[in-house]
Formats: sequence, structure tokens, C-alpha cells
Amino acid sequence: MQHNLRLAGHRFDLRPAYIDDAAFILGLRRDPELSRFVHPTSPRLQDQIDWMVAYEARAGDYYFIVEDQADGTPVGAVGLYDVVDRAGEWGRWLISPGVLAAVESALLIYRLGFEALDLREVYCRTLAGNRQVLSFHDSMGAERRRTLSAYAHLADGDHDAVEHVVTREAWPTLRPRLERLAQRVAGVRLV
Amino acid sequence: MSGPTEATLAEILTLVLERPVAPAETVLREAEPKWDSLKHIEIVMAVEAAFGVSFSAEEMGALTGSADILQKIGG
Repeated sequence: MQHNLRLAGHRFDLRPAYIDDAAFILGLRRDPELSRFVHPTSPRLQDQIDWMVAYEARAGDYYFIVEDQADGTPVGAVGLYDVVDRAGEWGRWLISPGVLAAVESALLIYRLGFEALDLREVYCRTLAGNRQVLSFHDSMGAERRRTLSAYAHLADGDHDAVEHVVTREAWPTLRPRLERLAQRVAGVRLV
Repeated sequence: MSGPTEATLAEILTLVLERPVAPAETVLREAEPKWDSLKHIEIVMAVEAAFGVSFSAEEMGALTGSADILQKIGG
């Protein structure tokens, strides 16, 4: 949906995704390295624009571009959506290869969920074969809640997904580690 | 990998990746299920602390595995 939420991090920020970002998002979704676990994406820019138009009309859907604070360069995208009964899913998480924005973009999306939107839980669903992203969620302390069979159908067949969840109660204990790592990427001197 | 530098790096990788890593083993980030984005930064921070080196964010992002780290620290 159209929103005006901005979240400032240590090195990277989140700003609303606009229709004008369609080409950048399409580039991420079509990147060979990133697209392995992404639903098949039309190569047509107009299809992405149409998706963005529909997104802007959809309630409970917050889509962001991850920007480098240094010069405003877009380096990724992430979203929090299906927000219902103070719970929401985060995903559509794509970061340009070689850019260390994953930790900070995750930190910011959880801050959005718990601190700006006052959610009681934020969950995410990761295809079971996407082992490094599963590891990311495990590493940061998200709880594995369940496995969803045949959750997605990609070019090579059906894929299960693993659902991780972070509760409002757990967030204060998980946030400091993400903050520390995001600070390190930003070059903040840690003691 | 074979010297003390390699042994120390192997200890770091063993600890962070939660599996035994031999000093002579070449570890590729893309091939390690547990070498995720979060642990990548933790590996760099541990290497910096152990070897007294410093990585820029761009250098961190470009590291593809143990060989790149050894090259950076001069091992």
C-alpha cells in the first residue's frame, strides 16, 4: 500500500518502494544469483509496474527499497505484508550481491514490525532449499514454527517452506546482536 | 592451509560454522549452508580480533571464503 514510512539504520535505510522502482526490483528478481528461490518473474517491466500498482492499493502491505546512506543508491528490497491481527510476514528480501545490507535490512524490518506497527509477532517463510537464509533466521534467534509442504511451485517443482517467527517478547533479546553487526558494517568502532 | 595463521582461521570457522574445519581446508562461503549473512560479519569480526586487521564494508562483501581471508591477513 502507499505509505510514507522511513527507517534509518547505521549504514542502510529503508524508504517506501514506488512504482518508479519497478525496473530496479525487476533487476533484482531477474538476477541469476538471487532468483534461485524466487517465484518465476516475468521479464516484462510493465508486469512489474502492474504488480506495483496493485501493491499500492493493497492494505497491510509495506514494501521498501534498501538504500545506502552514503549516496542513496538502492541496494535491495524488502517487505512486511499480510498484516492482520497484529501479525505480519516479512519477505521479498533481495539484496544486491556483494552488499552487506542483509543484517541491517532485517533489523529495520523487525523494528518496523515491533516498534512502529506494534505487532505481536513477525514471521517469515523461507524455501527449504534456501539453506543460507534458513541459517540466517536460525542464527538471529528466530524460532522455527512449522514446515509448509509444497508451499511454492518453481520451475524445478514443488518446494516446502520453513516458517520462522519472532515474537514481541523475544525481540528485545534479539535486537542487540543485529544492532552490533549492523554497526560493524557501518564502520562504527565497537568496544 | 598449514601454518599457525591457517590453524587460527580454522578454529574461527569451526566455531562459527558449527562444524570441524581443518587448517588445510579451503572453505567457500557459497558452499557452506551455515555461512549466512549474519555469520559472515561475525567471522570477519573474529578474524579482525584475532589478527589485528581491519576490513572495509566493501572488502567484507567481496570475501568469498577462507582463501580470500588468508590473502587479506597475509597467511
